[in-house]
Amino acid sequence: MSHYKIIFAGPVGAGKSTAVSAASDIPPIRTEAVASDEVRELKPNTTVALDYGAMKLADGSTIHLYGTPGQPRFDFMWEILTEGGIALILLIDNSRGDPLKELRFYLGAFSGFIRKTAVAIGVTHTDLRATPRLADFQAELDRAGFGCVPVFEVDARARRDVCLLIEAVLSTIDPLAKA
Amino acid sequence: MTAQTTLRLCHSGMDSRSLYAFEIFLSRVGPRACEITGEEAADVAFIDIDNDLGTYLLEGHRLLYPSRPLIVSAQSPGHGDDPLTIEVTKPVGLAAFSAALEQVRRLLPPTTGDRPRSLDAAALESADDIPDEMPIEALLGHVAPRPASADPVALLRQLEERMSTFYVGSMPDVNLDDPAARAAIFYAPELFLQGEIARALAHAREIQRPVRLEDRSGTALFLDPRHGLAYQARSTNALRALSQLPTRGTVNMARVEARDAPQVAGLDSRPLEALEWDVALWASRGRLPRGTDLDHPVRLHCWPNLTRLAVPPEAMRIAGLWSRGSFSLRDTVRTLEVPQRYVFAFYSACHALGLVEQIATPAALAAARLDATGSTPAAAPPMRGLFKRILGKLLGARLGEAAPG
Ligand SMILES: Nc1nc2c(ncn2[C@@H]2O[C@H](COP(=O)(O)OP(=O)(O)O)[C@@H](O)[C@H]2O)c(=O)[nH]1
Ligand SMILES: [Mg+2]
Repeated sequence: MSHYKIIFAGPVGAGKSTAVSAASDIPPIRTEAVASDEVRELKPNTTVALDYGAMKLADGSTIHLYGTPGQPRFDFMWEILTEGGIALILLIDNSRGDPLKELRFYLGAFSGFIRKTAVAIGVTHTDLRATPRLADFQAELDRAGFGCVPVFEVDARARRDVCLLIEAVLSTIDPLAKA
Repeated sequence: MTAQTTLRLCHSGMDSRSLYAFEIFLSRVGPRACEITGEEAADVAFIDIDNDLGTYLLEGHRLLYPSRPLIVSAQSPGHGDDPLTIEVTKPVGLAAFSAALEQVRRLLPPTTGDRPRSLDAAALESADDIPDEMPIEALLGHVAPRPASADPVALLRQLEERMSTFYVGSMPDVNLDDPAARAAIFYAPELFLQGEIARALAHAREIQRPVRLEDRSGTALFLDPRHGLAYQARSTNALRALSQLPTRGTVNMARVEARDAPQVAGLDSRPLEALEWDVALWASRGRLPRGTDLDHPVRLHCWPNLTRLAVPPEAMRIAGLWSRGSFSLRDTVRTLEVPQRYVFAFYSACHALGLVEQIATPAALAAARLDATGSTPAAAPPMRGLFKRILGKLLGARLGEAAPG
């Protein structure tokens, strides 16, 4: 049985845990990451918290939802976590720091995965700060050479928002797939 | 004269087994108190909202039939303040249901009484005396919590399709190579409210003040581009009606004066972009802005903010395709195998927000030919099945939860 995953990434506080929980059919689990032997050798005493949720599909299969640890110091985990991932949902908090700089950083960190799969951007906390605007995010994506990518305002607490974002990213991978 | 008409009642979301039980229940309410009819002919609709789709069915019905009374059953009602919605608590007894029907009768316009089928009020009044021997919940028990149809995705798609006529009209596909038929697929945005709004916004930006748009019945909209907000002084239905036909000089703009402040303060605001999007869809009704080329590739600069805008049918797949490469409108229809009006409506709305453009350089035309003929975008076939199932799941989640605003 294949292990299909959708990965949620982004800075601390962007809404990854909340989004995984909103899209999940099971109560989400915050778990210690199972680091591979390779990583254990590299960083022997590191345990990393990550979010896990699951969407149950009509045929009984499961899509696994993973929220990656936000701190860049855990970036060694990202590559392992993204293995077998079908798409990346990148959440950026619009109310704190420099959101466009965060976008740049995470696009860079996940660029290998994105080029193999696809990304959609959820800009969260727009109720707290409206700028930068979605067009500014797209301009940043253009500059970084990612082309036209779904960028939505998302409240990670709203299941509908999170589901629309997932739907969008899948439609960029295979627009011919249809419910 | 106390003759009572037989109410025509439709239901939303019951399977055949529950329907049978429900019919028995209704016959006990009174032999001809009401009859089950199709959705379009009904005087009143009955919806149970305690299942996955309940809220959505309710909203969908309200949108399709804005002035129709609804009887809504719920375990714990009491959230609605819609005067046309009558809530009954489950388990619903005969007396409660007859009382609800009685309330419906009072809500209906008198013309409904013209219909020949009528029955003696006595039959109905006596319904109060019937003991609650068949609580409706027992009958509907096997419906909840699943929606009625054997295939919920099909039911959702059907509903979405029907509600979408507001946004994409119902124009059938035309032969795009027939010049006469082709004329039908274009509209002139500037002749519609869409154009009035565009002009009003340009003016407001120029004078750096909000403006209002009025027709013969007064102010319809206040537009404040500096804050990106629109204030709607009309119901959505009224605004849609105003948007669908050319305005023919009936709409004027004026700048907002200090004396308008109290009226504006009493209105809800929404993002201007969401208004422009809706108004463009309503005007387009599945057509394209005049001058659009069917064979020039479409370039999507930026996705529409589909979490905060109405999602017309197949919008995701169309935008997904345009994110991948160069496709003309003709190729988009062919590649996705969707009705022309879906693609045209979505293009028109994106165009109104400045999100798309057509590229006619020789290089772009060549690239489009390549995209359309050569590589039909395809994930590995095993993924398509998986995607199909995920999308089915997401559609339920999307439609089951009401959109904001
Ligand atoms: N106001 C507001 N709060 C949000 C939004 N999205 C998420 N949150 C909240 O932001 C907080 C941080 O979210 P969390 O999921 O813990 O972020 P994580 O660090 O990325 O896992 C939580 O309290 C969420 O409820 C949003 O769009 N607006
Ligand atoms: Mg978290």
